[in-house]
Amino acid sequence: MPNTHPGMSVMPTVWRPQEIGEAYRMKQSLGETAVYAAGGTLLRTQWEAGTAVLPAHLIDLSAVPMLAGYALEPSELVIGACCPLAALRKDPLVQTAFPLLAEAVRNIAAPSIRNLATLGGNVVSRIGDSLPALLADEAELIWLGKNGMQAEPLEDWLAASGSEQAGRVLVQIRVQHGTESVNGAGTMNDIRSAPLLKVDSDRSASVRIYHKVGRREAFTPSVGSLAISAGMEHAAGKLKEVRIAAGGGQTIPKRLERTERLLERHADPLGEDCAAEVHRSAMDEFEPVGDLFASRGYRKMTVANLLVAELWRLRERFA
Amino acid sequence: MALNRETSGGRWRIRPDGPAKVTGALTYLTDMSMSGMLHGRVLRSSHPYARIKSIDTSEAEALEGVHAVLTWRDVPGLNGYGIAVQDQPVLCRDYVRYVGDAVATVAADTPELADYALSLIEVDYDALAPVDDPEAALADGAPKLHPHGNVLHRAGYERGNIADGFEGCAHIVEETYITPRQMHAYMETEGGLFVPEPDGRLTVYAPTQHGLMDRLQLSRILDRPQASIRIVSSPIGGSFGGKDELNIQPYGALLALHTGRPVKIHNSRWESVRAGLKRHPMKIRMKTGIDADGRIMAHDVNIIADTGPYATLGAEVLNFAVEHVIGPYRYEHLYVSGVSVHTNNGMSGEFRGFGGNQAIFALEGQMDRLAYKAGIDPWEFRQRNRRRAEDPGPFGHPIAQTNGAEQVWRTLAESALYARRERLAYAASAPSSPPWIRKGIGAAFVMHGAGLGFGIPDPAGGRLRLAADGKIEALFGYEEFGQGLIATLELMLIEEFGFAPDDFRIVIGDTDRVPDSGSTTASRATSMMWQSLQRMRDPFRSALLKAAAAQLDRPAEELAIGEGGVREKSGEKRLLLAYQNLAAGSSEEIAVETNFIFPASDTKRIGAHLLYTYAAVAVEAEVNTLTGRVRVTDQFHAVAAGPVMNPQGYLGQIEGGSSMALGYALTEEAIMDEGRYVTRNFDTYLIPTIADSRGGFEVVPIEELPEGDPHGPRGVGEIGSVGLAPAIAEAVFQAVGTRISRLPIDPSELQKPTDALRKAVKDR
Repeated sequence: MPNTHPGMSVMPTVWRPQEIGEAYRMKQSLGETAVYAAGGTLLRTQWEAGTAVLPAHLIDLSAVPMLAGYALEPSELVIGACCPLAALRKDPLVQTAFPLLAEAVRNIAAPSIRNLATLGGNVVSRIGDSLPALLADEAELIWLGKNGMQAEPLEDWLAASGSEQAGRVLVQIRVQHGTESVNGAGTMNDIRSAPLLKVDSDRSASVRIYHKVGRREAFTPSVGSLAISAGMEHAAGKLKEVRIAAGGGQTIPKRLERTERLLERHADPLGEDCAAEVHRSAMDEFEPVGDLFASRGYRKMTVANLLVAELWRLRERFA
Repeated sequence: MALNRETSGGRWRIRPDGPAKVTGALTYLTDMSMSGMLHGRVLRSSHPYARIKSIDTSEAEALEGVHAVLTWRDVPGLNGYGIAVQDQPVLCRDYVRYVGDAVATVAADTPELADYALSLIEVDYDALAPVDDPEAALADGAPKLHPHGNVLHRAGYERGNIADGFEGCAHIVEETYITPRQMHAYMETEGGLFVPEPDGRLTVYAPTQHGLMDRLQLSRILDRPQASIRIVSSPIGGSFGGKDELNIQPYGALLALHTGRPVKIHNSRWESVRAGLKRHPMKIRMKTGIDADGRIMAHDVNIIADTGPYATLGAEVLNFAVEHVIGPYRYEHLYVSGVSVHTNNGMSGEFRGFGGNQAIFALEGQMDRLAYKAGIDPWEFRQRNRRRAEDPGPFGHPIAQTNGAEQVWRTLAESALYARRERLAYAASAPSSPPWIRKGIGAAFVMHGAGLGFGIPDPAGGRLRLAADGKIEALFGYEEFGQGLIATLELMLIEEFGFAPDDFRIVIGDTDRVPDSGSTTASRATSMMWQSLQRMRDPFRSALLKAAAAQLDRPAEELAIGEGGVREKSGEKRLLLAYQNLAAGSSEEIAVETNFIFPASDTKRIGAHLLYTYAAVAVEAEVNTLTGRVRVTDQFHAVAAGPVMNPQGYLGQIEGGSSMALGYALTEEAIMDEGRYVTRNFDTYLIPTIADSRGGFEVVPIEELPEGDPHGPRGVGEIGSVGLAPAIAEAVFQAVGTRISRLPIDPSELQKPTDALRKAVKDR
């Protein structure tokens, strides 16, 4: 009794390479009929929704040692592309040293999914909620391609059109250590609950803030996500090294560079006039994709409002 | 006193079906399988509206491993179903009228093969422009979806003279309220196992809220006697009204009988969304006028309900909405008209609240707007206009009188949550709260009917017997779909009879064994179990004691029913005869049965209720004006439903109902675009998570009933789900001054641009 017929969709053949070179060679030989899979959580939803076809071959990357886990090295955090989101979320060292990433990961999907879903998968989706955090931290991607290992700034990769070099595979995500800082994220509902920044001395501080706004309180697609990283000289009331990245939904996240410069150059970046300019600038610069659930205008306004609100909180802190 | 674990003492019991459900050990009906079974699949329409030119199944039939490919030609009996009107085709012949319409059904060796077979069925459609808006469906020249046109049902009510009523009004409020298509979102999608038995009968293991109704409907479709069909229908992984109507049963039954083999069908979530029932989207226009004292002079209401392509209970839902847009208030002049309209959108039907959710959102919205216009506190406004003891029901019909309206009004007025309302203006500027967070408190007042209402068959009944193994069996035709009915019945048997939990066994959800208790719906099951037990208690006790007296050779007057068996009535209440021994020693079966009709109002008004539950709900909500998002931070529910039969179940019903209402108010909408679902899964259709359900939650039950009330506990299955949305809408108004007339609340309506933020910052 045959269980299959020609023309009937069948479950893919699953390949399980044991090292990264093997994975890459498999993809080269199987070509378009094969798809890399890590946690598979996003692929599965795409297959179910019919937005992607079930491939003939799946190259399961979960057994490749080089892609597993993460390491906190003296100058940087090196994260294997197959590191599950849950692992990053739970580590107090990551939380302390990389608060943007920890907070971003904390808000992605639900516990059972975070155990399977990987940071690499979130990155290569091009719309993952970790991306604004990684952009603000100026993360670097390490790929294995035809010329061996290559490094590429995340920002450049996101800005490129998306035509991927045939079969290259994401190996690592690297984030440089900045000044140690304290998580500045929070619900925005209680002014007391969110430690805003780490005061490094009585002269300077570093600011790290991440926000995700969804359609409900948890396990939700984002309608807006925002990451802010900046240094602050509070005696002078100036901001330096400002990095602002925004995304959400189907929007490919981007740095808001004009707004960054505005804040860096402003004589009184926490003042009322600057807040209005920043709001206008963010509204102008951020180009989100709207959908039936949240319009483009709403998404713009949400990100711009959160940004200005954070400036207000900084001012409250230093007034 | 608040109802919770602490205040319930020993009556707070672990429900008997709880541990297996929580641990995942329970085998639901859709978990069942059999060796040699086939897998059934249904081919659903490719179009929201189309004429079928031809159906060619030859390629699918030729596949090896495919055992049946059935179309309308293979339906032996009535090719139609529906609880009230059988107008929904089992398998479509000439037209498809929504994307869930079934055209063919297949049984194959594997699910994948069945899917593949569906893809080989050639249906030649002549696609037609879908009628996707009820108002367009009513317009002249609109395509007629049925020979009788596009109107399923009209209902209305009139008292006084509405035109005169508005003359001389001090204030008039006109508003149009729009409510969403809400999904039941039960965890277990529709499915079941269908087994042809060696004796020629058919056993159906498939969830439903009324096994005997499924049996009747299947007997018509299959053209075979009801007695040849057995429906096993519990346990159920959630229903909320969504599984009361037939869903996959006709296909499983047809395929099993056609192939002579067991067939399993289990909808994917995608198919469940596509084919299943939803809550009726309604557009409710209201014009309401008050005099200078704030008394309602005139209330003019028009309801348009999108009922989708077929009837199911669309007419009954509209009747209920008409009753509940009148609700617990007094009016000088009243005019209500409503129409339930066929469209090519998804099927609308029964859903917890049954038309009350939409009606009460609109009605309470009017009360809040009128109070604001008149400068009267909104709760005081309700006090001025609410019904008084001995007033007739909404249709001027006789009802079972209680003091519920007054009791819940007062309880809420005295609640700590509502008392905070006055202080909130100051709290908003407290330094702990950033300027973009605005808080408000709102409340709603609810009167909700229980039972199916006058004019609709509403049978009730149950049976008690002493089984041969010595267990007392309580048999009811009810279904357990999570509401806690088994636990409630258990507590009733312990408290009414003095049995120990081990003395009895509860039998439900099997048409071969249970009497007709009617449908498990309309907040009626607890009420009816209690009434059944009241009728059976004395006869059953007497029968047990009479048999025991004969065996023990002692007068029955000296004996009593108790834990473990028959005991001495006085003194140490010594155990004299275990139930096991009583059963063994009795030559005749000891059993009593009761059959009656759920009490209905003495009226001619179809759907009018006799029994009502009253509730008052207050919520505190906060609006984040940066994002426009609303969070409910505290809830208070006062519920007057007579005595609490099962504390955990009661609290669970109010909490669960409120959680559904939270989704209704804030996130849930099954969006359709030209007759096709846009939200096809739970990644876009968002129900509340536990993170959305934080904050305080207090339930105060009011148990007191008038002296001599014969009806006992009223239902609480729906009341928690109807009042929350309007209370949230008012809390939002109090917080940011924006009136909500459409659900779910759109955050972009509440978002304030930077200027507002700057001003807020300046004002601090």
